[in-house]
Amino acid sequence: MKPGLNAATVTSRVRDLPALPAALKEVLGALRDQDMRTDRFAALIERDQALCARTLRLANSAFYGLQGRVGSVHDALQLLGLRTVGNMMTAAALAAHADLSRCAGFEFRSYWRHSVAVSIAAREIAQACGNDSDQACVTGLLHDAGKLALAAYFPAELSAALELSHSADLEPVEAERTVLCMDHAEVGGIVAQHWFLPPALVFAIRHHHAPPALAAGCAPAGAWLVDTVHLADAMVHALNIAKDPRESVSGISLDSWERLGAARLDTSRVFAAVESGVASMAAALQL
Amino acid sequence: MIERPDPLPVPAFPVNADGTAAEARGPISPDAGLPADVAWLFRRSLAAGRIHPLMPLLLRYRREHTT
Repeated sequence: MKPGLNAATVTSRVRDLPALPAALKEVLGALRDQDMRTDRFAALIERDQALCARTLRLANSAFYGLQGRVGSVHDALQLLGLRTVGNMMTAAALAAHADLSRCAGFEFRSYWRHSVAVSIAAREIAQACGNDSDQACVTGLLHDAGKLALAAYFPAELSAALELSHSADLEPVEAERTVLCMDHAEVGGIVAQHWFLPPALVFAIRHHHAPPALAAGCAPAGAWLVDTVHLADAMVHALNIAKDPRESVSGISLDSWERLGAARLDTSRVFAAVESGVASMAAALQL
Repeated sequence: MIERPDPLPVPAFPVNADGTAAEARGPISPDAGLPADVAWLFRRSLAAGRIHPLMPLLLRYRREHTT
């Protein structure tokens, strides 16, 4: 078995990640500006043809019910929200930079569809619980960024972990820890930190498989975000959108369940939103 | 690769007909109405003898959306 990874090895490789395209970097930087106006943001996007096309495609997708009626980036931003667009761009940029062809067993299409599905579920849960649905959506889309980084930069190791997961019917994170001595959530946290994503988002990505075991009053301020993504991830696995015969639903942290008040959540509504939304979102994003 | 058993042995798991989790009183009969595909998804919880919180909720959703 290959030697495991550790935070230092991963961090050093992550430092080698290519810089984001200039246009994207500027757009993401602008998103951190609380006073950013839609028209200024639209102008930034319009400088880059690919970003422009992706934004319009998303706004005109069946998911938002306005097919063919959103003709400008400005209108698209008003419909989608600035952070949703920034989120899509960040995720797309990560994928664009990754050479995934060397990782046997890693299916990029399934990865994307799962990420989109979790972002939809997270948004619905956040809305129902009175939390920031934009932030939940962003985090849902990026929650498995570490998996993508592993596929791109540690393909043999991730491939071995996937194989072990299948052959021994282990949860993927357990197989990753066995083979790599780390899991994709830890790696994702390192990647998110490297990209200077907001601390709450880094925390949620890092802990989405094992949220902190603390009572509601003692949990950190951003705990709702990791709890939301944790539950959204499990709900999407339960739906088995990909009809994967190996699919299974991982355990849920009861602390997360209670902190969110999930017993009062209309889960049928969340399941329905994911099933109806994922197909149209995937089509819009050409997944 | 793990071969998926067919039919899946229905584990000892109490689920009411409406999909809500019943209080554990011991093994349930194989005709308790637990669909094999749902049982398969939650196999790890079932094997550990636990009720996964999402399982009855998924069952209810599937029943609501299957006509």
